[in-house]
Amino acid sequence: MKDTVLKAEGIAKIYGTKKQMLFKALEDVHLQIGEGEFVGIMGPSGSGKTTLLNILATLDKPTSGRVQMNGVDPNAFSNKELALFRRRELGFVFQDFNLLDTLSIKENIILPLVLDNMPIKEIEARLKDSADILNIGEILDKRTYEVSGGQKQRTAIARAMIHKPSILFADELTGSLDSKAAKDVMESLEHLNVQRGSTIMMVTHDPFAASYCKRIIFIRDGKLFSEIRRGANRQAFFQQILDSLSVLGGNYDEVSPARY
Amino acid sequence: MKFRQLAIKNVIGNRHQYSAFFLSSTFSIMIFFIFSAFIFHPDVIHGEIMGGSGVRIGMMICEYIIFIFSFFFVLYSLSAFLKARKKEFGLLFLFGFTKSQLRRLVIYENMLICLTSSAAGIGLGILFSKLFFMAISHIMKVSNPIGFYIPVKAAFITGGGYLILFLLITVLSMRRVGRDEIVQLMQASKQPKTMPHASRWLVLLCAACLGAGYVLAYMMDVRSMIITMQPIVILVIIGTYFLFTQLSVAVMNLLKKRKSIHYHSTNMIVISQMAHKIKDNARVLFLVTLLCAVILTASSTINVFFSGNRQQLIDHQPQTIAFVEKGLNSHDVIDPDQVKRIIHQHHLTLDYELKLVGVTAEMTFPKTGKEEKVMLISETDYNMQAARMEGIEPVALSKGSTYIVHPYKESFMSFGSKGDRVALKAAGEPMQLEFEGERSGMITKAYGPSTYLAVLNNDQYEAIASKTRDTDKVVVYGYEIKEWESASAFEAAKQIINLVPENKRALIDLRTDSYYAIKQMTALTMFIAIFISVLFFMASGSLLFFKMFTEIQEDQAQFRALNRIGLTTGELKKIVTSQIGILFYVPCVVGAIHAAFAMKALSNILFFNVWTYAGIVLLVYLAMQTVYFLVARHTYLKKIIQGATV
Repeated sequence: MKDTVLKAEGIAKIYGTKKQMLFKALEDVHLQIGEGEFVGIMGPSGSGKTTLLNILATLDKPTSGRVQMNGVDPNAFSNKELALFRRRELGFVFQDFNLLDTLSIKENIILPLVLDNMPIKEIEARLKDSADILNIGEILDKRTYEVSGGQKQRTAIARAMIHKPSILFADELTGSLDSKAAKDVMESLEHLNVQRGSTIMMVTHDPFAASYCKRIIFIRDGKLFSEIRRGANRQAFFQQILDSLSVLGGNYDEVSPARY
Repeated sequence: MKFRQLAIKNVIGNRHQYSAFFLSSTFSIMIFFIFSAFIFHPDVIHGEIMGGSGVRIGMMICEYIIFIFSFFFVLYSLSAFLKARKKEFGLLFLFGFTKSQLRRLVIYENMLICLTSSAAGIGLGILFSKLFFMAISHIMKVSNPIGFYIPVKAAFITGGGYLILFLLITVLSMRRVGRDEIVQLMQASKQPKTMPHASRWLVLLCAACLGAGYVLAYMMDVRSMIITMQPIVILVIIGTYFLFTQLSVAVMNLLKKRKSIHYHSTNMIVISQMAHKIKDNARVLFLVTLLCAVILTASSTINVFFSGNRQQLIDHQPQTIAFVEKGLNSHDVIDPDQVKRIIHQHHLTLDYELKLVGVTAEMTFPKTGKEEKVMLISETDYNMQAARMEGIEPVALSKGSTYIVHPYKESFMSFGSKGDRVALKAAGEPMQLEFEGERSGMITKAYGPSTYLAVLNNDQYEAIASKTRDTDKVVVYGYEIKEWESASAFEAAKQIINLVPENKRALIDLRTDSYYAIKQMTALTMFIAIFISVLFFMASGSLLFFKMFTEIQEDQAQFRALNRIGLTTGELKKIVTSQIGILFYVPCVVGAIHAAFAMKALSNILFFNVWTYAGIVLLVYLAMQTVYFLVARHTYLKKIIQGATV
């Protein structure tokens, strides 16, 4: 196995007030992601997958357990260090894009670099590189409301990778896209993983999106349930995912996620 | 939950948006109430207060101003509230609210705000009216302070007036509600923000208007005042409007092109958001700027008039006490020893004492061709007094020449030029003199024979004086008291004038009297104007405050996104601080520049340096604005950080 980028040991997250009933969102989760991996996390609604992502992505803190990223524990950081850590080491893609509509597409992409005061030449070189790989070179000067959902999500991916993060987190990134756009976005992400060796961790509901991953971890009721790895064929992997989901059960009746 | 409770809950739920509006309304109602309590005060109506009727008229004018201002302020604020709540209204329609039910809900809400702010305003007004009356009594030097009373009439007028105002405005602003389709209402806040665009022509127009207005104001003088005043105001208003809608966007777009600035740290976010925020808030910023300019100009003008008057007083009455007597030792006005005794009695220090002896004569001037009565004085006497006063140069004269001193610089009119021949008739003999020069600026009381002074060479003066009888000579006595602004000087002067026979009182001048009258008038005007200024100030701040909070949800979402991708709290604070800072200080700075040109125009008219006083007013204003800014920043940041880190 390659170098470990992310390592989680015994993660638990418990919600609840002091006297109220406690709710265990996550229980004793162990997880390792190596460099260049493309990992998907699936599970029924309420299984704790987004909680897990938030904890791994330093947006939330676990009640117990340890997270290590490149050998350091981000939970030991101060708030400011944590923010800088996210800015430099992590990339994020969200379902609702989280692009700033006061900025142009180009400005949205380069934002992490600008915040870090990178030289302008370097910024422009990286912008060109990212735009090429995600195929959004033509829309750079447009505004966010002038482009399609798929283009917005590819913009968000470009922003998430322009600073060459150690790991890229994606949360239901195809959730608000139509199937054609979802396919484009997933192909871009796969391209990124294969060509650039980017490490990606993705939470999704959508078996089609998940079929682009190399490894899928299923969780249920806050616990790891099973894990499958992809062979050469994506179609076969898609079928394998559907089979696993039926085993997983739960209220996994909505195959396509809720849309706006 | 009853219908009324829903309205109450809505108001409480929206308290962050309403709070600044509520405070400004309460404050304006309070001021309105206090002023009307004074206007309807029995002591004032029955004329038991000296000068009360004049103040009463002044306050009535202020009442109109407050009410008209309140109307526009409330109209603007309430329609803005309705606009911000479109989505909420869409939801209510979705649940099956009818239009009339929604109208009733809004009317309930507005009435609730109106009633609570009226009650709070009148309540606070009753509390503070006594203090206000005491202050007014003190300024007006009323012997029996204006008494406290519960002004039922004033309360009814204030409460009733504002109730009608709110009702009228509610009805006016309600016309818009319910016109849009539900879908439009629901998506009102989601509509994308289009990129702000500036037209090159309008930017040029803006620069031209402001430039022309400023140049005209800079060059304005007494003669051009009547023609240029209105165009200046109109030009500056147009220029200011386009400054915020066009020029600001153009500047931001220019900044965006400068990559070394734009691609630096948080600048990119600040600049892009500012372009939107300024354009969205252009009308508010425009209004606030005008209010700011009005406040600064008005307060500085009052300040300048007072201090200008003081300086003018000193120019026109060089000595605290001065009187003119005919005859060297006649003392028919008052005995100088008496004056000195009284000054001494009041423990006042005499800065200097002047006894200027002169001879009256008739001079015919070459330029005007008119014969004027002048007082001949010697070079030594003039130079001695000139040395005591600031900015008056001594004169040196050869035999046969004369130097003319005019009293007022305001009415200076040239009598001749150097080398002209001047005909003189003194001690019954005609003579010829050479015109040496002329200047304005009195050295002592200018009255009757001593209006114009003709300075002569010492020898020549002695020659004329020796031929004049002592009883025909004119003497001007002047006593400059160091503490002339004090109350005891005022008392001493009163005592002195009581010793002067009634028919001779025109011959004596007391600077203390005029000073007190001016001071009282100015203090009163200032006192009333401060209330109006603070009212305007609070209202303008409240407009900004409100604008910030209507967009807080969008801003929270934005900052949440930024926080996720690694914006530190420090950077977030930096962005918010610069945004709010621009919103609060840009109108202030632009208003100050407008006011500065107005002050320049004023100084052209008054021949007076106005900058110190305008500067003080500006500093006070900036300090107050800073307090407002800090409060707004604190409240806003708290909300944003709360929303961003969830």
